[in-house]
Amino acid sequence: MLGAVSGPAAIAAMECGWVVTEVGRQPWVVYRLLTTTAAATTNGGVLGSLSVIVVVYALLGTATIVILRSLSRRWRRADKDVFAVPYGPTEAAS
Amino acid sequence: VIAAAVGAILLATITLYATLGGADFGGGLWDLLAGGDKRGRVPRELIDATITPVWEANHVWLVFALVVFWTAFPAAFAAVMTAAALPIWLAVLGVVLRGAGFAFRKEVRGLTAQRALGAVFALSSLLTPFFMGTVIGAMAAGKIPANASHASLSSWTNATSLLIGVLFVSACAYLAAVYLVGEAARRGDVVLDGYFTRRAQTSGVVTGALSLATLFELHNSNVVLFNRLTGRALPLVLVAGLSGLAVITLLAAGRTRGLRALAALAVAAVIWGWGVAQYPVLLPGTALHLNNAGAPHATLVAIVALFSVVALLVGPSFALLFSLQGSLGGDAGSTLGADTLQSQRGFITSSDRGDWLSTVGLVAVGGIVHAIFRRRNDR
Repeated sequence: MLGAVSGPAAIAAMECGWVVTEVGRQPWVVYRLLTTTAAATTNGGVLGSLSVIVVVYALLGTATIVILRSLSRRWRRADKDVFAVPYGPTEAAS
Repeated sequence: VIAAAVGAILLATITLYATLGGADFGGGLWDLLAGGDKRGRVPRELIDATITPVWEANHVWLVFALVVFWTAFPAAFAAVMTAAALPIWLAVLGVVLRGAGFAFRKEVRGLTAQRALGAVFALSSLLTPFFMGTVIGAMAAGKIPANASHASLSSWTNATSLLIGVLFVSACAYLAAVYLVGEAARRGDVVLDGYFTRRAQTSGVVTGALSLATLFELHNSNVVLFNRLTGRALPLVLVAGLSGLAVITLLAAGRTRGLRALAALAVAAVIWGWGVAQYPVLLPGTALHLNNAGAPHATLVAIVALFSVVALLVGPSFALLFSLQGSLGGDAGSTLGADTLQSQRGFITSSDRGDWLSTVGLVAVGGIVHAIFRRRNDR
């Protein structure tokens, strides 16, 4: 049980640590040298490009999980079935 | 002097990215043009097998070039990133989607999903080098203002930038086709050898024509650069042209030895020709040059030291990567495992004499650059 939780917990700890450093440093982007306001782009369209990036990475993240799960199903069945996937069970067996 | 050394490091990483990563993009282009899934299956398999082991390693050089650019010449980097924000953003999006499409395509089952992911991979292989080219075009045409505060559409949608965008796409296709001729010949595949020979010749002629068109277009948009390309950088321009012609001649004669090295040499000579012609200016049309757009002296020294370490560490790693692929493929017989082993082969194999030729070629390009600068300093 503890082992199963420790995987996601490691990711949560990493993300939280990141938020602490980024938020804690404000208003500096480089401490005592450059403020975040001064470092920000003068270009428009920040919201638009950020939205596209969020959507693209949400799709890629979902696709990664779906594909990893389908790979793991195929690996479990590998005794009966042979699949031509790179780094797949057939290679590992030979 | 140290700023010039860092400039040379930047050009060297761009050269590595163009000759290795560029061929990856070109592979995607030939995948795009290979036709339906029945007709295009055989060439797609060769493309896939040659890109798979090396594509991630090859794109290391893009990261390296960007890091050197922003660390060493922050003022010029900020100007380029601001004025050409849109094409850079689209190129980065293309890099992300391309990698995802390529990796996912192998893992999914079902033709529809594979087709969709293949299309993502192939289309972003077309768009990414095009947008990268327009950014370089914007710099070469002098359309990036030194104190850019907003993105400028006209900076990269002018004739020079668009032309260089198309030139990039064509050069990537050319490099990939030539590398794939070598790979098909090495496998003894006569059909694919002929298939990619025709494509290498066509794209070679198109790339040559586009290079000349770009040179004359520069006469309109940046006459200083044109004069220097036909002046002090002329030896490199000639090396590029002669290597290109030699590749087409070798292809017509059906010879593959040294082919890949010559094709890479042609592209390398164009990049160094551009660098030599522009020296010491970073952004034509502005006052930004190597010595005043730079980071403090200590930072530049650190970059040179870092690059030496990188060359010592990454160089042998790449040699090992390519030679491992070479020996794996060489041992593969007609056993069932041969297909798997064959797919581990890269574009470049250490057993090829091409490696020696490319080393000699790059040293020769370096020698010409050195000679040009010594002559300049003597005056």
